[in-house]
Amino acid sequence: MGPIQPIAEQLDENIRLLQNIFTMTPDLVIRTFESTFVEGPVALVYLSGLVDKSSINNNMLRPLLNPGEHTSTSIFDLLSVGAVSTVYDFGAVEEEILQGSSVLFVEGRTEALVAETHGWPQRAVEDPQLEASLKGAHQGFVETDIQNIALIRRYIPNRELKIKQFRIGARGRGKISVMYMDDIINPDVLKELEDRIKMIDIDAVINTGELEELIEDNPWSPFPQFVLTERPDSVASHLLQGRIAVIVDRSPSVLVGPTTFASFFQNVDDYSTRWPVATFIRLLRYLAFLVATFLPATYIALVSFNYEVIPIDLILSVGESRERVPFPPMLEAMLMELTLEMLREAGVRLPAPIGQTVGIVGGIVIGNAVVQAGVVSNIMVIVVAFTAIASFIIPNYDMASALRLLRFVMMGLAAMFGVVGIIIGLMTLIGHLISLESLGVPYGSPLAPTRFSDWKDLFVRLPLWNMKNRPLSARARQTKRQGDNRPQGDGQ
Amino acid sequence: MRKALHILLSIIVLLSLPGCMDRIDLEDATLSLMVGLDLNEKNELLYYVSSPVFNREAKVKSEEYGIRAESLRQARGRFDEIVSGVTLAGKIQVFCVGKRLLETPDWFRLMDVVYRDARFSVNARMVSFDGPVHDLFHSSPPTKPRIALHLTKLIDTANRRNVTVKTTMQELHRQMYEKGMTPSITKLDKNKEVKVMGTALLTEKGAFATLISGDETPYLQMLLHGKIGEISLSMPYPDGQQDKKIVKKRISYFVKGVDKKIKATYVDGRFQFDVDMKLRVSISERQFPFDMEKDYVKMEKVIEKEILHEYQKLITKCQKLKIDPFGFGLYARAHAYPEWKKIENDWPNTFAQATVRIVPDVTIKGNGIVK
Repeated sequence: MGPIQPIAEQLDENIRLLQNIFTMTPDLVIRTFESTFVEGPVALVYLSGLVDKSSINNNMLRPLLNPGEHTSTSIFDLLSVGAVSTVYDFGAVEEEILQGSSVLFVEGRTEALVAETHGWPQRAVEDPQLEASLKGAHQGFVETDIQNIALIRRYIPNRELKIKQFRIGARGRGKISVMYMDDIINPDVLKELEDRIKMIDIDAVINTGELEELIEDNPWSPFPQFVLTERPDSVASHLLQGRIAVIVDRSPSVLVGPTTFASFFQNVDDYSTRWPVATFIRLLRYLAFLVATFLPATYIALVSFNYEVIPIDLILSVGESRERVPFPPMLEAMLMELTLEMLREAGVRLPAPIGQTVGIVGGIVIGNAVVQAGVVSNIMVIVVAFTAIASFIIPNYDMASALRLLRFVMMGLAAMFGVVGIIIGLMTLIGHLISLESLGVPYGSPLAPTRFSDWKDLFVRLPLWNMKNRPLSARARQTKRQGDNRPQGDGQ
Repeated sequence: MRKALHILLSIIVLLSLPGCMDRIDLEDATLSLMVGLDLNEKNELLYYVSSPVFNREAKVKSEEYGIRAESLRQARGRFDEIVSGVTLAGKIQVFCVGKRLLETPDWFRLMDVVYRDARFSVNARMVSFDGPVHDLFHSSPPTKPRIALHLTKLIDTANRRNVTVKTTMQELHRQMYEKGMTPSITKLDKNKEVKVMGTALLTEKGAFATLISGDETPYLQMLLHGKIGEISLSMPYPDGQQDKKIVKKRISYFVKGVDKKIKATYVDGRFQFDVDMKLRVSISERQFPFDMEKDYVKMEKVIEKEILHEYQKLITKCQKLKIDPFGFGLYARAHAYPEWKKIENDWPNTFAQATVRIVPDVTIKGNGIVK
């Protein structure tokens, strides 16, 4: 940006300056007219696609053109728009126009009035796509941050819910809102996050995922270090536990941190299903984590190194089914796992009707034809199917993707070093997980460092009245979450 | 720079792993499921192997070979000359020793490689076969699965009913080197069908000593392990006039629980074992009328007498043959160590002189569900 250009007294001069700034901008509207209210002409400037037309017509144009018996002396009072402010230079004018406000220039004045008349194309609030829930709310975030904040505020109507806003990006100045509960949050963690956001120097942050990559602790790790969610209820619950949410304008997902490994295995539905059921499902998820990461690798290791551990009846059927396969187990597994990944990716990217076809074709190919043709063994198909199912159980998409990637690493290790390789992989994985941090908070918590009081919501989900304190991993300043809510029965 | 160094270091450490050296894909392997050892008439050692065939073009799904060799390792080389895959010993289920070989001293030395090579399966069941091992390996009844799998199942289930012992190669190693007991292994025979004969009791050196039948094996098992699996005993009811009726007066019972207490003492220059056995039994079959409610004590006494009789028979037989499959020596060592220390290298002979007093105490806990 050049030197600050003040607003001139002459309207013509201002319009000329505006036209200099916005060249080749056919959607810029400069409406000049005489208002009976002020002497001399006024000009209303806005970008036609970003404003709410009816608001401009009803709240700006109509009162200005036809003030009626209005007696006020200030033009401020005339505009029936919620937020009106005054700016004095063209830098601010440009910014406001680009953000969807409309600017009113008045002949003879060195200030301009900015009225919030936002009204860009918007999607309706819909059911979240990635995190469908059975019992939770069916409202997912949309692409407008004000809406998203409103969705969250509906859950926490409390004055301690604070929002700090930043503008990031040299070209696409995006609004980033950091949201937290002021009396719960740990100020150090908040400061850490703010510092990281402030340090970003980039053209534009298009998506929350980009922001995540710019501020995460370890960019080399395959594991997500922030929860990206599209559910307001889950954000609200995180906020109440003492975590911070980052809302990126124009992006329908919200970043939550600091997180732990375990939080990727939790789901809003866990807390609205009965606790033994929720516990069972949660244990299934951890099992699925192991299966999705290690099953193909185990298959490779057992079939090419340690066949001794396979029970005798199974080994015979594995042998019989492997007999026709011309590839070594590693290649066989690679082939199938890659096919599966391709199928999955194709299914996601294609439009729904074709996506289904891909699924069916893939199912037939994998399930039947490949085996009949003798390219892949039956057991391998079972292994692939199990892994696929297991990786779909993981509730968080980013975590599931990370596991998919790890699977191939483990397969490589297994093919080279057998079970020893898998153990090395597992140990490296554990080492990595416990050294990882999210906003400076240990990722492995509450397992490592061991915080037994947090285990109530780790592998088992104990009854809600049992979790009287906020999780320690959130580093909350104020830890009491609830009083004694233990139901006594008989209305006592 | 430091990161690069770390990565380099990890790669070096990884590459020093021995993993990839012994890699054999399953389909390149010939898994020996059953291994046999025998002697022919000219006293030459014969080795047999049975392994599954993974091939659609092959008509028979199992291959059996017998060759002449002087050691197990040498035999493996010979087998590799015949079979298509690499012969592997990691999945052996049954290890069979022919009767002729079992009667030669020091046959156990042939097993050295089994315990020396870590990749050898030591969970295989030890079997003594009455007859040429060749017959066993080449008998594949059409109604049975692969002979190796059939035998595995046969032995395991027979052991569950306590018709025979289940001695793995590992267990045999223990029994061979344990000074306080002599080994016992499963005994098989084949006429038309392969059949479990009972238990072969071996001498200290491993040579065949005697056979105890499937009816006697439970008594051995009860002394050895207490109660494992189902123990069902059957006996004729002695009332002095066992006539020539078709339906004999017999009584059968389950042993629901055994509590044994063995006390070893050294009295008058010989070991003395007092075995206190408490048996809880349940009558499962009674082919004659008897008033259980009134006379159950009488029945208990009858059973006690029968058990005592069986044990006396068994122990006298063992003492005559100078074998101790029950492991009384272990108790001698535990309770009378100074005396044991003097004779520990000559336990079987000492045991032959020992007194064994068995006191069975039977309680009838159940009568079945009929009155």
